[in-house]
Amino acid sequence: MAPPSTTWTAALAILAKGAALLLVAYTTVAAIVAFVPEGNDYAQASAFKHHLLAAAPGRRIVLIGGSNLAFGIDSSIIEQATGCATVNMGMNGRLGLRFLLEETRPYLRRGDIAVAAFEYDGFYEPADGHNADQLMIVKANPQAFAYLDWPQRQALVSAVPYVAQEKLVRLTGQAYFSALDRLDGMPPEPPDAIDIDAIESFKGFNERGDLVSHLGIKWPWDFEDGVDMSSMTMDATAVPLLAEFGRSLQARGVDVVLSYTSVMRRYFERHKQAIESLHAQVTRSTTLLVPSPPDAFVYDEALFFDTVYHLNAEGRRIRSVRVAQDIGRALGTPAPCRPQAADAQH
Amino acid sequence: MVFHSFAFLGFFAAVVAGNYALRPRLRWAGLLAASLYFYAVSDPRFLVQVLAATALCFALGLRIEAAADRGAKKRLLTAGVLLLIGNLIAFKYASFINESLRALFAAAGAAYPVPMLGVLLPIGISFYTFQLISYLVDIFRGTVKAERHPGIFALYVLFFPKLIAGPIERAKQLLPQLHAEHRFDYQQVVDGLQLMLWGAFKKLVVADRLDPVVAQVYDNPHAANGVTTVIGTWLYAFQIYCDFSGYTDMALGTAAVLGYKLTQNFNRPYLAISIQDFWKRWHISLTTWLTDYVHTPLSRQRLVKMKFYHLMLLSVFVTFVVSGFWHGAAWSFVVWGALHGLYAVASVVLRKPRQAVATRLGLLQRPRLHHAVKVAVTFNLVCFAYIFFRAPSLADAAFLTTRLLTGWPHALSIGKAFVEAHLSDLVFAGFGILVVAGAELLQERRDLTALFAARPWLRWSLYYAGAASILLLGAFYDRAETFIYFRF
Repeated sequence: MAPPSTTWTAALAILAKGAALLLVAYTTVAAIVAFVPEGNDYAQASAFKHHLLAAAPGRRIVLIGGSNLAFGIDSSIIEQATGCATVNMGMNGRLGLRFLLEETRPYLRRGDIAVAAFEYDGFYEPADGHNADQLMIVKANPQAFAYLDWPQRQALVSAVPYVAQEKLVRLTGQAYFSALDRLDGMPPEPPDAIDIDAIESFKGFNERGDLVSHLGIKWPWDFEDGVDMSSMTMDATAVPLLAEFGRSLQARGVDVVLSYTSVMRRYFERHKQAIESLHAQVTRSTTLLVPSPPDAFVYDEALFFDTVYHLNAEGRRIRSVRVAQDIGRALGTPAPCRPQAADAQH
Repeated sequence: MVFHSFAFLGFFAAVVAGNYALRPRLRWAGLLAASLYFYAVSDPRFLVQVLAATALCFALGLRIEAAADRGAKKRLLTAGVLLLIGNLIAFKYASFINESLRALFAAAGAAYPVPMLGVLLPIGISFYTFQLISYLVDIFRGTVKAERHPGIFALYVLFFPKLIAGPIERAKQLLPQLHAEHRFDYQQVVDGLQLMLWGAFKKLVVADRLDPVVAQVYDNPHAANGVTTVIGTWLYAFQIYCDFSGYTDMALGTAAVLGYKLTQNFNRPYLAISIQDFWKRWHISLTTWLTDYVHTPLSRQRLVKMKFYHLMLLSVFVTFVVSGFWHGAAWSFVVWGALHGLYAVASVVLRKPRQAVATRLGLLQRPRLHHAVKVAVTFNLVCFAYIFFRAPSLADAAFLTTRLLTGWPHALSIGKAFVEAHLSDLVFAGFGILVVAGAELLQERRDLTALFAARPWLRWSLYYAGAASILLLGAFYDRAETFIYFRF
């Protein structure tokens, strides 16, 4: 093929061919993201939770946060104590504070009670969240794209190769270990072995959005830690985001309560100073109702499932009772959605 | 700013567009501005230093050329070389010398009053220092003319594709190109982009994937055994090769897109059949520099009287020690260089016994097997020396060598555990190594450029495979954006 005749046509030809090459290569990678199945269908719960939120009648309690809420709340306890329909939106803290707040904002209406509880990681990792996790949510629930701002949407583009790589990593591991099993003549893993993908699954959620698939299972491995706050600085946008969310929803007639994440005692003790400083900042610079300090949600190791934030069955029961009491205390009535309380309110 | 970053892609696109938009005789100015920006972005603190060294050598070059007699030329050359080496010692070796003296005083039970020196290493200092020394020496020898254009001379020193980690360009090779008026050459630009893609593949798919795997062995040497040390060191051989040659490919490709041809620095080094052959194939611009400016003058010196044969062996050894010292201010690098020196000397001294062994084993009747054995022996000698190159300290390297024979009865289970701990990195890098090794073996036998030129579908398939592999297998996340040779 003869090269183009002038400098500019030659340069344009190279540019066009290079761009086409990159586009085709990127499309291949995107196809892997699109068509290779996920390790689990946890992200599918996003659409389900949005549906719950849209459909829940009357005055609702909406729990906003990461997986500490998914694993660590029994919404029926809160519902019974307060009389309010409760929707647990908690899924994954890595989606970032901004997204977790934005995805509930359009649904909240006058009289609703928003209860935010974020892992401490959420204040130290970027409030814009991790683009790979956001990509998985958008893939499972395209409606979620609307809750991202433009920089977050642009970041989805660079998450595509990463997510494709993660899939390849998973497939590589599966192929290697199944080949080893075949070589050893060993049967596949027994069905009673803990499969985290079966726990973190769409069908693991109940009708209020609480994850229940981990209940009754004993985690045999070490607990996963949170971020090391002593070596990081807080994301400067995190608390202002919360403050703005609180102000705008309060103006809409929504009660906004800040609860704290459940956390393992040893992690809390190690990061006590940073957590108390966060609490001071939140109470000083936001208009959120903060009925209890962080240490009200510190529990012993025996009450946790697999991380320093995820509670087991007994832990979530204790915490849910406390959250329900806190809501009552913050709003000045223990059962804000029972008829007499509603009458008093209006 | 590293070549495989998005920041560099944006910078490079602007430089290429600006370069070809400028009139050919003004392009040096655009490239110099871009190079200054490139250096300033990488490390602005040392811009004044590199500019001062450049100005000094520009003036000295003119003075050496103009000096009437050889004695005056020699005095000016000596002053220039001493200043350049003094600068290098002050910034690269001062801490090393200070700490070595402290250890020596401590061993003698004496107090050493000088505190620790917190001297920062200016990036690229070893490379531009050697380039400037060669420039002054070449003028002294009369093999090049002193450059009279200060801007072009500054560009010769600071030209961004080779500024931070070479190749070490000679004046005779690069200066005429900087004076020439380049037109946009479609084929050269395409070739340059190919090289950049190939370099990025080596760097991201092989070198950066292997980095955490190798680090597991070398960052915790006391947990290592012979099996993990051998695996880690073999992998390091591929890591450092793909890191440095990947960088060089991207540097050569970058320069080619702009219309310039830099020195080829690698020629399939792990296919070398001897240590001498290895050094003709590895970091070629450094090897030729050391040959021309250290080994040759040493082997021709008349101060020390000895047989030429012995003098030559001694100068080979000293040259390798200098090479080790050039690489890093630590005793482990000196030992690494000395080991290569010993290999080289031994290969000459032991030529007859080696031939006898080969004859006895019947290798001379099987030339292909003999060739393969020589390649394998050379590769493993190079790898043994890498233990000193990669280990955090001389003590760690010595410890690792003492452990080389441990763990072998359980080699299978140790190897399996090692692989499982880094499964995806090893699988991805393994694919990359197969591609790189396959391409190099093929290239050793036939001209791949001609093969691909005749088959556009094959060429485009490879471009596509390369780009997709980088996106799919490349280590972009949680890895440091740097090259191993940036610290030299």
